[in-house]
Amino acid sequence: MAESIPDAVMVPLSYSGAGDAATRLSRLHAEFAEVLKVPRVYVRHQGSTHFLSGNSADTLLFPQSDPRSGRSRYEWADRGDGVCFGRYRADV
Amino acid sequence: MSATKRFMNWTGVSFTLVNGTATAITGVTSVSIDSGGNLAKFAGDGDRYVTTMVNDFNEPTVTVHSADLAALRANPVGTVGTLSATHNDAKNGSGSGALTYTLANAVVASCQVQGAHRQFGQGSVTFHAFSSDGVTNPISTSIAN
Repeated sequence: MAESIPDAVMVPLSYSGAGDAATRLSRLHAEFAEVLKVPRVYVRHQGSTHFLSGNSADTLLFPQSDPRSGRSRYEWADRGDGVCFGRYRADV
Repeated sequence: MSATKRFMNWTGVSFTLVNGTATAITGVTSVSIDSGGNLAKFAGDGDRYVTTMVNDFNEPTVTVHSADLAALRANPVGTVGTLSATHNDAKNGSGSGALTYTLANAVVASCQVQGAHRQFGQGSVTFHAFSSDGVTNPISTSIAN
């Protein structure tokens, strides 16, 4: 069965390669807009990783106002090169 | 045309409330974005220099300068929404290479307006931001390809 379209992507900082911020951002957009099937990829700097999704309001964890606060909103799966595809948990 | 990696002028500056009502801020002359990082530093024993330094906290802020005083004053301090601003590519405008910054959970922190005789009135509005989950960076960046 074909894998479903991820809802988010977590990318190690090193994955976007060398170059200035605009070059690396462009590289991430070129690859992951297609993966996420979104016209615009929102990239957040998260320390050692980039968190990418198609919605600027997305968060890694459930918000603190939610009873599930502190738990991941995604099930993460490493595709084999350190890039993780996230899919909303069943209870999202 | 390929991106120049040089930027000039801001467009599409808007503040959208949680209920979806958007305020376009026109006449923008400047936008400044500060990631607001804090570095916690440690030294001990006979150290004469910091031996450990970590980024332990971030408080991002964005300030918009504009002549559109009505838009700047449209929302009182404490109003929550999403701020978006596009830094145009120097040659392609809002096309290839333009960077759009989005500040989620942006909160109006302060607004200043001023005007002088025979001068255009100008002002600024500053936004702080919170993270809904405490870990996700409220600032996201996207690029037009």
